[in-house]
Amino acid sequence: MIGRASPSERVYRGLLRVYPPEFRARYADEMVQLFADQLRDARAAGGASAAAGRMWLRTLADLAVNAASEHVRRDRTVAHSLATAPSTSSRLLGLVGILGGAVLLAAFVVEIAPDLNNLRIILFNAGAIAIVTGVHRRQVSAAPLLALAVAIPAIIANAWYMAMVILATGREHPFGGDFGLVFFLAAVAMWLADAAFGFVLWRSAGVARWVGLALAIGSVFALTGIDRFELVRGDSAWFFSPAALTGVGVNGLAWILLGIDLARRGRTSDPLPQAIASGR
Amino acid sequence: METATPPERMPPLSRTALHVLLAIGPEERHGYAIMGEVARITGGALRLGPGGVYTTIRRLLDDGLIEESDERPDPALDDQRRRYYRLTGLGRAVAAAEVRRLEMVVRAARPWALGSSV
Repeated sequence: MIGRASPSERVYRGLLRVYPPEFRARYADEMVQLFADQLRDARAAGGASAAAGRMWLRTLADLAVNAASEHVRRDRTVAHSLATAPSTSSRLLGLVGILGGAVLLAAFVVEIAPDLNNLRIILFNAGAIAIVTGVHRRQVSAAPLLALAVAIPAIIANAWYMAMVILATGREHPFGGDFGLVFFLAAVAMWLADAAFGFVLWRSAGVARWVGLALAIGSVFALTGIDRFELVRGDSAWFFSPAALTGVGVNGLAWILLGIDLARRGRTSDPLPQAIASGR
Repeated sequence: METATPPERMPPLSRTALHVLLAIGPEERHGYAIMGEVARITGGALRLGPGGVYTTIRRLLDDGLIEESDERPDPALDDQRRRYYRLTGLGRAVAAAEVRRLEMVVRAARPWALGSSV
């Protein structure tokens, strides 16, 4: 039977505002009813005021602990074990991504023979494609169109740049003439697509959020290092030269971290669409 | 496709989650009944409030260990706002795996931690 809400129930319903809105929308009615049942039974047990007072104290403690927990751990399961394990293909994509990021960073710590430089970039592009594919598979169930809109440009741009590197192998001046122009456009597309991919990851609320931001910023700085822009030469070189190098380094590091995330985590509940939709 | 971890290979459930699963058992129960049953089976050692009950229910639902029952009691007998929950097949398997794990712990502890009286 549904009766008129008592003052206690109304106060309790008001206090439920400390829970996250989506949790409240789903469970507030049931929680108020449970609270009312408890209160009724406590009063029936005798010593109405004392019983109600004890119950209120317990309820306030319950509210403080569980509302805080729900805010902090709203994506958590009852046991982390219940998260789905990453599939073999997810692990493989993650490992390829880690390798791609690592070989990109390798040039910062060891001298790479010129003959191997193209191979390094090919591996880097393959790693980026693997990561984008893996992340897309996570996001696609939640927001198919958005996931596709983010993934397709990144995959095409990296594949395009990789193809240009392969075609450039053996050419004496791969950066000149029409071929050089196409190569330049491929590089611009790659860094911009990587930056856009990172930006969308950042706008999502997942574990990789700040890695996404690093990828976006790193890619934009790396973009400034393209020769045709001539930013890394001349008066502005003091800024753009180290900035472009740092950008490449941050980009490589971001792919590695995304690869680790992909290889370790199997949850499919990426909160990307909700975060985008709510403008967070 | 992502693959689910088999129940027997999962790390332990939280204490509250296990007790809520056990409290629901083979029945369909609403929040207040779950709360009462948890208090009963733990001898009053674990008393959940509305927040404890429903944050746990939310996580168990998200994990597919319980589901909401479609059936509603007779309006004359019960409040229509109540929702009833029951275990899923996965929920039963996870609860059983957890109980087996606890049995192993008890067996290992019995010779010394529980003394000879048990």
